[in-house]
Amino acid sequence: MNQPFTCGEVFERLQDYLDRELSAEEIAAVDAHLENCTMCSGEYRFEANVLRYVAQNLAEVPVPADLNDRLSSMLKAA
Amino acid sequence: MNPQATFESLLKPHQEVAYRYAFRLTGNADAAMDLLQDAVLLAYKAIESFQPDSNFRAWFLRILTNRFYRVSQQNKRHQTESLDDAPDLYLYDQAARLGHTMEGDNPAAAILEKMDQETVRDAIDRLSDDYRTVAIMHYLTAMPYEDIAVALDIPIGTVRSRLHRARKQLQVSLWQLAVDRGLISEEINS
Repeated sequence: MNQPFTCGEVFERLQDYLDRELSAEEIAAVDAHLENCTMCSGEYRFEANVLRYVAQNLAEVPVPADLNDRLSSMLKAA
Repeated sequence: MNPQATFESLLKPHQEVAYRYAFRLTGNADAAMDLLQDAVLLAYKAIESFQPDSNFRAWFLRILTNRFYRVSQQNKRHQTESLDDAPDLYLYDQAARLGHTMEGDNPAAAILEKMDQETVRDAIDRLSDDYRTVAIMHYLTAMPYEDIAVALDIPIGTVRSRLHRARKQLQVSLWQLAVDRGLISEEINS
């Protein structure tokens, strides 16, 4: 079984962990650390919530109801 | 199926996210529609260069992004801004200073609930184009770094570094804008 990461090792990988860009082994090692480290777990949850909040806000764009029709008409005329 | 129908069947699953991406890049509905329509026409004319077993979304967003850069250069928008390196976990540190970081399942709620959509949008707009495109694409599409690299025609390592730096700078801007607008007080216990 792999050794859990230290706080520093988790900190270095936090952004990639949030983006699910780590290997399965690294994810397991980060998971193991977060389960036992209140400080890192708090930082992780905070960062995850910030990311989610920004993503939700950016996604709130009203899409024109006739978007498909407009693109289709344009392509027909092309 | 005729060529137009084939192209539309490829485009349709991605056109709404492409519109949202264009909207966030340009900042308004008319410019977003113009950008999307330009990109659709360019993609339609270049469809023979698309490899059927590759990622259509990444391919199309590359065309849209390149078109945005072209228009953006013409308008000289966001081209000269530099991105100074910002500290890690900036919002967390600010929240910790105010004693808000350990509150329930969403420790960021006390800070984030005071930041409105306009503040988030303006914080994104403060990024230079290279960082903004990576950040918006990442947040809107949740595409992996590999696909974003294809869409922006840059190495995966560049996606990672730009995204991480953009994210840090975004947190600084969010905080500064929220303070400047009186949404958040920097005073402890206020």
